[in-house]
Amino acid sequence: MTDERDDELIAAWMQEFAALPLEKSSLPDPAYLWWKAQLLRRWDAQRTVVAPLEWGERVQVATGLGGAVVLLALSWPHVPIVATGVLVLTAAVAAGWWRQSLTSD
Amino acid sequence: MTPVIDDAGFEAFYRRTAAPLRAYVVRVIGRAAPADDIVQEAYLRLLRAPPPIDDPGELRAYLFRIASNLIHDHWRRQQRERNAADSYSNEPDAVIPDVSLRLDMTRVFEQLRPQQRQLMWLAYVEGADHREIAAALGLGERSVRVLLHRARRKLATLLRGEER
Repeated sequence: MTDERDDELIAAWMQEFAALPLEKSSLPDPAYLWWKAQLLRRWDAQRTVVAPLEWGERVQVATGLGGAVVLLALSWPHVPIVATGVLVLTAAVAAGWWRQSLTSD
Repeated sequence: MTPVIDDAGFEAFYRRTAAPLRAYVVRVIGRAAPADDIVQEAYLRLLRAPPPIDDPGELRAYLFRIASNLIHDHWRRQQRERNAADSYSNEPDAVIPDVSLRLDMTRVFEQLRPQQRQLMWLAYVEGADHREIAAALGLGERSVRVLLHRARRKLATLLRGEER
């Protein structure tokens, strides 16, 4: 057990230890800390305001992707026809553009 | 939330508390550079989400609690880094200096466990009672009594030079 004498010794030792000089401080000025904290508070507030909007955007993207998947699944039997149509249309547009570029030269 | 303290109030509070808070963190951690970062972060957290406290004494206790939590984070981070380093290296641990011969107070204090350093500093330098220490360290009052007793006994043993 720690006896009374030990307690006195420890209290005195701790006071001596606390009085030892510390290394030079690199703490900033309180005005700087105040300014930085206000800036962080403002960012926190902005983030709080923007958070629901960002969440809404994520929901929008997810809904759009989900819709596209559903649409693709529903129109799956017609995909070859649609794909052929898109290919023919693309070829026609490309041919028209090529002919126009030849005549303009 | 409206800040409890204004610009001028904070400056006065900072002037009163920065030196004792820094001394606490430096002595408990043992190095000045990370201690200064912790002190700065403690003030920023206090200002960023100010508690609804008007009493300067309570605000000071709250600040010490933030710093104590940051010290714990620092130790956890250090422990992780040490573990990662240990997995690559098998170097032997550093030899603990003979404190009874060196009479180096800092080294003696560093031989206490981190939590014991916090307890001893808050009790003997800050003059905090068991309730205040419990609040600052997130412990129960009864635990503080027991842990502080152990820390005292350990320091007494170290000072008598019975332990390396």
